[in-house]
Amino acid sequence: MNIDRIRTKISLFTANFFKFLLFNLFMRYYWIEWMLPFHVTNLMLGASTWLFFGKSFEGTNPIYQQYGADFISFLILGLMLNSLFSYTLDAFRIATLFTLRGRVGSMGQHLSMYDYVRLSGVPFSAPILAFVVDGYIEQFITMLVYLCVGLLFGLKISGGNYAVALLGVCIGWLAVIGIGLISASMIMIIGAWKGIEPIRWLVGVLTGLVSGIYFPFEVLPEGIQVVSRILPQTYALRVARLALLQGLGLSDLETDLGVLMLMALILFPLGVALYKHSINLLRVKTFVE
Amino acid sequence: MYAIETIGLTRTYLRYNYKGTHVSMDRDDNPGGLLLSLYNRYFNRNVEKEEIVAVDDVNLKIPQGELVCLLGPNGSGKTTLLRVLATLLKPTRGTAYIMGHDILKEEDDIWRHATYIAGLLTGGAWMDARLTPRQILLIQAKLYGFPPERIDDALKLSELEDVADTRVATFSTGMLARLSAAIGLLRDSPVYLLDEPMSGISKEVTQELYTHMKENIVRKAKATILFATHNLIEAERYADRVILMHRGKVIAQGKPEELIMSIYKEQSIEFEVLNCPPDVVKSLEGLSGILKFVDLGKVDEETIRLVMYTEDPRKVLPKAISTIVEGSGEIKHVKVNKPTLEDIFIRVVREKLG
Ligand SMILES: Nc1ncnc2c1ncn2[C@@H]1O[C@H](COP(=O)(O)OP(=O)(O)OP(=O)(O)O)[C@@H](O)[C@H]1O
Ligand SMILES: [Mg+2]
Repeated sequence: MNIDRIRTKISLFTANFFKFLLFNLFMRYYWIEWMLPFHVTNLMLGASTWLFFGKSFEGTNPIYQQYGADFISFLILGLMLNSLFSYTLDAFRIATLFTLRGRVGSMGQHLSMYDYVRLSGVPFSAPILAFVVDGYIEQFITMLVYLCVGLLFGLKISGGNYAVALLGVCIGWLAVIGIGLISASMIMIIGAWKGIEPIRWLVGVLTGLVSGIYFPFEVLPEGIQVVSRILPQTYALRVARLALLQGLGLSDLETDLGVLMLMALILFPLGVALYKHSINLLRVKTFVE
Repeated sequence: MYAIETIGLTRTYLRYNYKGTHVSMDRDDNPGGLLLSLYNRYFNRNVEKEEIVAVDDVNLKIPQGELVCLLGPNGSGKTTLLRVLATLLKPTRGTAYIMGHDILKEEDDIWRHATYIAGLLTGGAWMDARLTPRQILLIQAKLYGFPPERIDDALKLSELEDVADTRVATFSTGMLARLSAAIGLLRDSPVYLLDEPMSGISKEVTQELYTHMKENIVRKAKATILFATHNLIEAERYADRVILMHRGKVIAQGKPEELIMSIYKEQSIEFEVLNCPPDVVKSLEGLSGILKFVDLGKVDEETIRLVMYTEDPRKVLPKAISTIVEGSGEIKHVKVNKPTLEDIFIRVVREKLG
């Protein structure tokens, strides 16, 4: 009985998830023509600016020694992971806003997207995840562009420990998804419908300064490094770089991976629970939008 | 098993009332500004918090296979009740069962048992104007996992066969309403929750749709339809059972005729009499079987209007007529008013208000 129910739920999810995904892709076709070429050019020029800037004092600071004294590889990895993580911070909130504001219908007769989804038995996660996944496609393209620019400038990751780097990125990703979900819950909980969502803002603003995207966080004063150590991005970046650039393995990075794991184990379930709660609030409170 | 059973179902809303004429930046619960709404809620003296009990301790038992009408004035909680049953709103207290399924414990499965349509015209929400009825029904059939053969039946029943392959954008209002009904038929759910289904639909189509719903959905498919409306005439004509709501409470329910009989025992007889001598009026007032006699006064110089209330017009009417005729009054007009649901409604609401 219960297994049957779970099975129908999963089949409902998959059927609708792909429908929504396809729909989103279709609706965003313009992106390929009117955004992608310009976007790619911007990214290439932006990344090059950073790289020339870096070249001008390459390797002069001994702090790069621990990352293989390779500023270009250091920076490219930072930029790539930053585009992944910063989108992840926003993804669920934007998807939720989009879905909650959405209307379905024709000729002046409309149902709210939420009601529509509920009345047709489509799991709410289907449109949300479809929207999020759709956005990741853009991020993966961005990461690919960074990678290409990096290779052009002499990015060296051939001797790296790919498995450990991937593990670190994935655990970090899970933790950041947790933060993204917490941020998305704030729509209903504190009413962050418009403008800045404070939690995402705080994490975003700190990440830029302290997590070591553009420079190793070890250059920061001790006091600020404390802040670095509470962000999962710091650890994910560190693990990915040390594994790829210095070829470090699991045993060398166990502390970083352990802390990251702990963060993911707290943030992810917390995010999911809070998000579920916030969506349920929709049927408890009612909103005038 | 009941189609719909509610147990102490209650739903409240919090509402903030903004006194005074200044326009507040923060509309009801509009979550735009946190600080502003906190200020408004806790410090602004012009803002009053009010708890509205939109559905108040409602206990219903609706059997399967009935067309049930939910009646009530504006703001009596009909929409709220239907939305709670459709799991679009959470109840504040109590619960309900749809075909034996708890709307709280099985909230994600209620859509299988109940179809909620806010107005047959709002059924347009299930459609895309660029598609044809057949395509729309196919999408619905896929969504719900129904065999596509059912589509033809639904099209036939709703008399849309001729336009089955025409784009919906070209449809008239009544055709759209029928398409909504077709979607409902296709879904074949045991319970339908309709919120003012006929608003905006012409009389003929309304009649057609009600007959259609009653014959095909209620009688043949043994489904239950709970529909909210203000239209007492429709309710009286089509409903197997009516539920009167007022300020969130169910104040009366039952079969329309029984409800009328039980609440409104008396009927009124209205006379317009030409040249009626005063002693005739007196003896009319003294007739046995009359509960209440009202002299409405002169209509013009010679004509007066009288109303008498009785439980048994068959006995009173001949006596009254002969009294007038014998007293050389001339009867211009007689009318026996059978009470309608409207009378019931007015009376029940008045009684409840005290
Ligand atoms: N979102 C809301 N927030 C606060 N109060 C609400 C909200 N929705 C409805 N109400 C209040 O709840 C009460 C019941 O409203 P409801 O819409 O259920 O009435 P109704 O019987 O459907 O009325 P109508 O016949 O006008 O459609 C009303 O007093 C209304 O003001
Ligand atoms: Mg209503």
